[in-house]
Amino acid sequence: MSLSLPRILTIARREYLTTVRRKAFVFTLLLTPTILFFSTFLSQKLSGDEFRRHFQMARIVAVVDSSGLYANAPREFTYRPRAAAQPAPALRRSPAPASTDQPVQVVLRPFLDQATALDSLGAGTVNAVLVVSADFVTSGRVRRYENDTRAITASGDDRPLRYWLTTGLVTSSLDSTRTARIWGLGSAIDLYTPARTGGYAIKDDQRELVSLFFPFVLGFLLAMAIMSGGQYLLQGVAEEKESRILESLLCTVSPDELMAGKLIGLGGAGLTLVGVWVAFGLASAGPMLSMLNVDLPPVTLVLAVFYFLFGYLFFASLMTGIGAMSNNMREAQQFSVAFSMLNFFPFWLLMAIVNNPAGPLAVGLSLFPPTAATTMMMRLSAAAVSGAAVPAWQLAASLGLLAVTAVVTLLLSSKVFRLGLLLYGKTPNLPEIMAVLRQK
Amino acid sequence: MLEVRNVRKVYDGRTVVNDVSFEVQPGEIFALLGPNGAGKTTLIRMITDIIKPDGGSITLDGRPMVGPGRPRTSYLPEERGLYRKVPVLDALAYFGELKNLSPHDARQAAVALLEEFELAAWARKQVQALSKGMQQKLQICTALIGEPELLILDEPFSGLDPINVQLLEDVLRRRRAAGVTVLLSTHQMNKVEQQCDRALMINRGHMVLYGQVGDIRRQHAQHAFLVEGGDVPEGLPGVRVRERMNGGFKLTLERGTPPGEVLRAMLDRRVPVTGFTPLIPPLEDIFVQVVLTGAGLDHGRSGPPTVDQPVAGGGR
Repeated sequence: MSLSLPRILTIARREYLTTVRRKAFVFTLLLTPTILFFSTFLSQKLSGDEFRRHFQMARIVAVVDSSGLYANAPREFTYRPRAAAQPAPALRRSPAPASTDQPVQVVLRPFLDQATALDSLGAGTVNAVLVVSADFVTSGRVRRYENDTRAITASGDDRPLRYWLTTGLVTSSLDSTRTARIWGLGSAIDLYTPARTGGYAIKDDQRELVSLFFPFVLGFLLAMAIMSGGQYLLQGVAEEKESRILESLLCTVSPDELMAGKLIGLGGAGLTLVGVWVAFGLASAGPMLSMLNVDLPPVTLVLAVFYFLFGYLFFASLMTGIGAMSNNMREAQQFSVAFSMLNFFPFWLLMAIVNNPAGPLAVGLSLFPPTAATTMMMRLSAAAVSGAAVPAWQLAASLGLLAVTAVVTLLLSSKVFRLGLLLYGKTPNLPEIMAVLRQK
Repeated sequence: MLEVRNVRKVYDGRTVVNDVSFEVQPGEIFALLGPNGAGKTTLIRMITDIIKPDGGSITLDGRPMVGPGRPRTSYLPEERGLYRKVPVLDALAYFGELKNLSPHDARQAAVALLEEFELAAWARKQVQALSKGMQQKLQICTALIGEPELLILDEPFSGLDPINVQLLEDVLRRRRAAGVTVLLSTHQMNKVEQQCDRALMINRGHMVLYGQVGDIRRQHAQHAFLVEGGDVPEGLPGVRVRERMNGGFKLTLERGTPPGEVLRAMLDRRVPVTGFTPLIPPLEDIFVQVVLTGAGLDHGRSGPPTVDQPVAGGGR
């Protein structure tokens, strides 16, 4: 039977509309970004607020100074984080974090012994107990006690006390400027790395975070687009087979038309899903990305389209074949899990790929067709952030191998689809599938 | 005219359809019979181009069943289903569009069919809201939409109540009058006797019966007659078995005995005969007999058995 484009488009339209109108689709469409929003932005905001509140709280600290070094140290001071050594503001690309820059008022009360101090902590008359050991100069032993119920305590909390200990130790022999400089050396030395625009620029912690997050997001979106389309196909074929609609359809349309229509319609549904997520993401995170000067070169977007097309064709063909050979949805899902995991495998190795995008692991995974699309998307977006480039030959080889594998899989799957559709009540074993593939 | 010539299909070295040939005239309702596993579904799948035959040819009015100019063929399979979560009208119109109707024409044709099958009131309901019988009628509609030239129905009467059976019979008569070729596969032999002009029966992939339904039945008559009106004496010449039946007598004649001679013998003996009717076996009895005896399986490639060439086991 020759392929009829109007019939293919009729099938594609039906598959697309049926899928996007499903409650499960709308649920996934809205729920996923909502969950991401709540799990990232909201939780960060809440924990950030809690951290700020905790840090900025005026503190009364009981000091048990067994060393006697701090007998003359000030009993009250205001800690100002910005006053400590910071890079020159002009060198920063991003706005300075506002979170912990507020001054903190600290009052220190000397206690003769630790037990009394801890009793005061227990009674709530002090917020913390600082115990400086007798051999502090040689051993550096110092302890802090707090009634802190947080699972993870921010290290920034002890900065006011470290500042007091440092200045108290050196203030008798140094002037205030040098004392401040010594305190500043406690932070990292400014690091300058090659800039995308040429020359060197100070390394930006937030930009570094984005360089890790951005490849993950792009790779994840591509993988989700590929897999959601593939999963819809698997579900559609298995359901139609289970409900015995296929034989009625196959009298009117050819298996190839049916498969082509499903590939187009359900691929479109997968793209719609991811497209809406991207729109959500850009709307909420776009300004931040533009501020961080992270923009994807157009060629990366073009490559993303090709990787989606071939990646989707490859996985969707696999899913179609599995759906056609299975008797019901549950069976089809069981068979498809391994292939779905293969698509997401590069995420387990995200750090290794992003930290060494030209290394053998990253190159190997971007040449291996099942992992090529997501890996290369990670490498390309990592390159967009870092300024490093993926060699052209690797792009050509990766895309070429994926394209050839996708087309071969499509042809084999089409054969399995044609013959598997009419197999009811029995799941074929591997030799039987091979026999099907060998048939004319 | 549907022409099936020497069609053969082999699976894993096993011949499931073996050298089957028959033809169906336009406007004819033709029965395809056979026990479960006989090869009927495989044969139908080859006619509808769902699977390819390993040998032979299938044409409708000289046109092959494949390629751009393929005849409009519809098939209602025995294993059938519908999209359940869509409105009835949409489900039917979708099949119309797949049969190359424009979206507008497909909806119009769907509306007309729903009216013909008394389902118009359910057009906006979801398919899953229909009763089993209604779903069955909707499935028949999906086969009828697009005005097929060849209509293949596998067990179309199953799941229908007598009223809807009547409705479907009327629909089939109208389609036959419009020149549609109908191939009917069913195990309901009474429907075959009522509806079909001719029949083909296959068993284990071989043709075992082929011809006019009436001729097949007459050919398989046991040379028996029902005599009504009086007490038939024993010892009539040419009568092999005499037994009481339905208030009269069933006389089974010896092979070769002219029935007229037996009737004359009874009249000579002053038997008050008011009825002398040949006993024609129902198709169901013939079906059972042919399947149980394996009749017709030994004709090999000598050509399809017809009523002019009775198969072994029949007509005795």
